[in-house]
Amino acid sequence: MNASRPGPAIDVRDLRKSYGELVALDGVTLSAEAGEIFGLLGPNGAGKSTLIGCASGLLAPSGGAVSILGHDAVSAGTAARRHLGVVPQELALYDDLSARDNLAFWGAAYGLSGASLRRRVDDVLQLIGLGDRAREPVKRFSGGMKRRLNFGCGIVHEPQVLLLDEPTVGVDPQSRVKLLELVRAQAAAGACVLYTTHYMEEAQTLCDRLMIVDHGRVLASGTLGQLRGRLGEKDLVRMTGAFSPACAPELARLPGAEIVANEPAAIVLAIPGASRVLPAVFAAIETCGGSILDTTISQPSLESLFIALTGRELRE
Amino acid sequence: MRLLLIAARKDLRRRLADVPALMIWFGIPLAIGCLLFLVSGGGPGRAAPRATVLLVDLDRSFLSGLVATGASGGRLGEFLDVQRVEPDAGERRMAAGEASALLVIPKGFGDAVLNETPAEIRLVTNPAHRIVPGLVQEGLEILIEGAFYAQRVVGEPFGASGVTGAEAPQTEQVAAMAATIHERLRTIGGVVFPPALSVVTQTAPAAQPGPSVGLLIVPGILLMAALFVAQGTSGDLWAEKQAGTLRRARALPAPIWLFLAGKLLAGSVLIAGAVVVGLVVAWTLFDVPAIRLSAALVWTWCAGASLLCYFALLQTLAATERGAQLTETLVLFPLMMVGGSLFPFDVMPSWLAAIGRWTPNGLSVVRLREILDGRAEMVPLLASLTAIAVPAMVAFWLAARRLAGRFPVH
Repeated sequence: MNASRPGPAIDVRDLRKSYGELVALDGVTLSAEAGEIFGLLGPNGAGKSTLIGCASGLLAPSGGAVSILGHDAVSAGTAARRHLGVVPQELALYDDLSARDNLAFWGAAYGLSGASLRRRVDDVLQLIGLGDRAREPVKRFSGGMKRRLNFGCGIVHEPQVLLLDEPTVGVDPQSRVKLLELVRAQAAAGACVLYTTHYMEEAQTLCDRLMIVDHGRVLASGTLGQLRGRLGEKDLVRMTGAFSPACAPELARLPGAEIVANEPAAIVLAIPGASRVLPAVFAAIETCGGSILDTTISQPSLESLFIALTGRELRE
Repeated sequence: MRLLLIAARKDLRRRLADVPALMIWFGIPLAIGCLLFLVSGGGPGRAAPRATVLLVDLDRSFLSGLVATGASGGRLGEFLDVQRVEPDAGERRMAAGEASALLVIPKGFGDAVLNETPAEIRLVTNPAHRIVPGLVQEGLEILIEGAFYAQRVVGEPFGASGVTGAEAPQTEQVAAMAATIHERLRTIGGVVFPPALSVVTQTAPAAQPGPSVGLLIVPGILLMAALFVAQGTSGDLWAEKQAGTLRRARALPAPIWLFLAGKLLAGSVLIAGAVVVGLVVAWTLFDVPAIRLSAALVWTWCAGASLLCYFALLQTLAATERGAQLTETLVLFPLMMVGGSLFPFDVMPSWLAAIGRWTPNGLSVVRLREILDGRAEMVPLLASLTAIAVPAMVAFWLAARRLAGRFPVH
């Protein structure tokens, strides 16, 4: 499964995609290697699925380029897609066919045939835990089983590059664990995995490298450690209530403090040792005539980084 | 090209597993065909109508017997089924509407003919029957006219020989009558049968037997099945779009037109299946030669494949699945009604039939009927094939472009 050629398995350069006035991707650049799980983290509408669409040849980029194992996704689309496995966000299965028939169809469509196809279908059925339900029509499957089969259809031809578009959306915890194991196994086998999600925990536990995107733009990129480092040792203090314009400057005078978001009803503050300096924070608010209804302190994490970068929570 | 066969096999499996859809595609045309066949009387050709004429012979003479025999024999006998009945039974059956006419030969009819005295034959006709009683009346008038001339020629010899109308003549009486009649015919022969005139009898060429009602219906029914399959198969594009499989297929390392072609190939195999069933019925019931059946199968398969292309384009042009369904319904039913599938062109107003013959399925119906009738000619057939296939290929190309564009994505 390992790519024999040197260089990144996925190479995205200054990728842009717009629909009229709406900019879905605005100069995204990334590269990922074989055996690596690269995470794209961002809220709904951030542009993650658009990036997957451009990489898989479903969407024509407005600018920039995507190459898969050195094949340009547009000018050499057929060659690029030969190495790709795609697991779309929505289920993409034939409900009226069995799990085996679904896998056999997609495997054959990617060029497998005869004994190798049958063997690979059997392997994937065991891998996704559907060996004993292989001949049942998919319409009888639970949501989690369908998600696993959806994943299986994306890997049946043993792709070198795997594009996973939020594969665990709407999946029960047990199936989610199983799916994440499958993704790790693919990477361990040498596949380059581009994994989009808006679940922080998934991104933290699964991905070797991460890119945080919002509104089509890259906000931050690197390993989990590098991203956490962006926040330093600062905690994030989120306060809601009523705040005057004088509150933010008052808070900024505190040692090491950085104002992340400043609104009349909410202020987000990055500050070292938040629990220790909290009385000073409250005093500053009182000085500027503000009132606090609720206060939340969070340790440095992807969530707090996202808030620090965008001023809002990921789920918003 | 491998994707074409794989996609076709996949769609065939899906379609064959969908028994209700198959029942609709194959069952509805079959049911409509059977209904049309039954409603129109069916059978090879249509027998000429025969009128039931009830004969009440109150005279029971030799001559009244001749009238009855004359009415039921010869050409008149092809139209009339003369049944002798008693007076009461005759009146009762007429009242029940079981006969077209009641002919009553009065007592003394034979004597009246021989003695040249007035006699009246009573004919009662059934007002519910419009044409057949007229035939009976005209036939009877010809018979009476014949009786008049016969009476002029043979009446006197009959009278002179002492024969009465009530009983059969003796051998001697017949011999005397024959000699007298022969002498009379010889005398008037120069006038009645002038030798200068000769009658040349020409036998008109036997009229070609018209196609049976069944064979009028079969082509339209086969194309109706093709229309249903085309609609269902093309509708599956939206089903695949909703299922996400079309999007996944777009990410395959093969052009999407092969995927579409595979779908249409599966549809055309189903059409061929429906056509084979229909043609076997035609072969069984209407004795169509096997060579024509083969040609009909090829023709209908081509026509069906073209319909698949048109309907695929309709589906991909629609902005929503509902819009696609509505558009197809708006196209399907007028095509079936005007294009000779629900009603044969022969029963349509000529202007409507002229339009219908130029619809995609109508043109196919016309040529298919010619093939089944053995009247098909190669040049018109190829011209029609071109007229059907070229727009279909354009439709396929446009549909494939839509699939390669935004259709599967948005």
